Amino acid sequence: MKKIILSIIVNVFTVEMIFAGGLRLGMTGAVKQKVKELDKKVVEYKEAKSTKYTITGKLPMSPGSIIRTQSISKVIAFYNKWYSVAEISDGSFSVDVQTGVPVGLIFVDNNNKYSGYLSLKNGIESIPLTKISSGTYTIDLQTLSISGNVIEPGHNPIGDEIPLNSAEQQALSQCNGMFASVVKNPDVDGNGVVDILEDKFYRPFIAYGVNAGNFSGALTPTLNNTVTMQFYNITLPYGSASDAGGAKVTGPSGSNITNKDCYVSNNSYNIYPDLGSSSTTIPTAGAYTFSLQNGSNRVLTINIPDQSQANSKIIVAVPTVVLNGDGTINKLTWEYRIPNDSSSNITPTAFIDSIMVQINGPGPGNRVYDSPMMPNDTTEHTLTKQDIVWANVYNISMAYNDVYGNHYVVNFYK
Amino acid sequence: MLTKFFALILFSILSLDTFVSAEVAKGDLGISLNYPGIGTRYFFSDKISGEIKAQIEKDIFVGGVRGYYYLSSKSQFLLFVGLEGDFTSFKGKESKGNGFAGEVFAGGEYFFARQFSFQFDFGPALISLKDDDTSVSVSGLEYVVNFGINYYFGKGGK
Repeated sequence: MKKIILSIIVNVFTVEMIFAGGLRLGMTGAVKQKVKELDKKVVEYKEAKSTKYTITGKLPMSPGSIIRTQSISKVIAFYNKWYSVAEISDGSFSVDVQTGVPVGLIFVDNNNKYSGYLSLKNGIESIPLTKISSGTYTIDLQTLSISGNVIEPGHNPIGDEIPLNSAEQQALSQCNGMFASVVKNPDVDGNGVVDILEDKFYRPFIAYGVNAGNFSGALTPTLNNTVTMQFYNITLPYGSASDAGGAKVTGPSGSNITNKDCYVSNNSYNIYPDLGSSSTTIPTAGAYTFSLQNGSNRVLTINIPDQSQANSKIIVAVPTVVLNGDGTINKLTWEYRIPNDSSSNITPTAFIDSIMVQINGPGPGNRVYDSPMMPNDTTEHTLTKQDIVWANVYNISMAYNDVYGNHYVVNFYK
Repeated sequence: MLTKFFALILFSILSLDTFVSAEVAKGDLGISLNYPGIGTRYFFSDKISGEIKAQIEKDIFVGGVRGYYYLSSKSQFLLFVGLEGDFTSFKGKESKGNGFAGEVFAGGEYFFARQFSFQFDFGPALISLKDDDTSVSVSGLEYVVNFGINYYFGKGGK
């Protein structure tokens, strides 16, 4: 008995010593350890790859060119609060950019004063790195041309390294508009210095409610060629909670917004006007001035671009309802399109950030189902409640955020 | 935890103090249960044997051959040295691919019954793996401990 107990003690001790010494049990144990190391290297490799996308170009150096007259010395690529700065040397620049997001490209002088922005034409004032052709790690804009503060590339990557189809280019020109307003005016607080270089970023975004079509007895609705804009609101992140109280906003002529009170969210640090029922269904293009009454008395000015094409160019998730045998809804599948091109095929990962499904009925406003917020590559959702009778549904709302931060509630009615 | 339990069981078998006269010889054929796999062994001479082995763990497969040189062939406890070469396929959290491994080992076989032996060996293994998608690779040494139980047909265990 003593021998058995002693044997157990010795054996337990020996096994523990082997494992404590970092030895691998069996060749599979050794391979497993190496797989862990490989996993780590693969992650590092992918991360390194994701930060190695580079945008290059050259500004004309001729006498009298803007680079000489305005002493343009730096290029800044930015997305929200992320930014990357590169010096311009003999007119040439090479700036590393974040992948998987759209970036704006602006040019500043030695004092970080704004000089101009990159435009890819046709309303595209950001570089959508959300869709890049395989194997592309550098986008060479070649020799840029300058007109006023608009800087255009010698080589436009849209349709080339950034393979957007015609419908996607139209959608981009619409949904990048609010972000582009910051690209065009990156000094929203008007203090003479590009905001992001002061660790501030004011990116306005817009929320739209849309009537996109009717099911008319079918399980897939007909998408109208031009959707009906139902309502909108604009939101401006103001950056800190302490100085937004009493904020008021005044819009351009025709906007019906004059010294309007704003709601202030101290959770999200957002301010948005109390538009009330007198609002138009799309915002009037022009300058909107937010006056932050308390604290610093800052005045923030944003320019909302023309939204008259929104009803034909906004991205719409068109659902198809799949029923159970008893007439209840089993799941929804969907495809992304733009209204004025019924055959359009929009790559969701290039434009969509997240999406959720909402179901109302019987009657309007009677919410019976909310899905969780789903990632951008999701194109179907099986309901977690399998007792919603399709015959009782009033409308389905496809609610989503795009990569520029805009929010859409797209409604399809029975 | 299971790995430790398996190792503990094997050590416990080794602890059984029963003397068994043992002999391996040319033409002997054996099968082995190793951790975590199986193999089959053939003696080309009284002191040299070869083994084909396969091991499987979750998302990892290792298959290969071993060559043994026995320092003696007549004893309850037989010492040996050897070489191993393996092909491996794997799937990790981020990686997936194939690789190779080679090991130099030394160890022994302990006959705890007429045709059964417990085997233990240890040695450095050079392992090289490559991820299919990214072509990222790793290569390096790991120190490997192997346990197993062998069963010999025919003359084995004389």
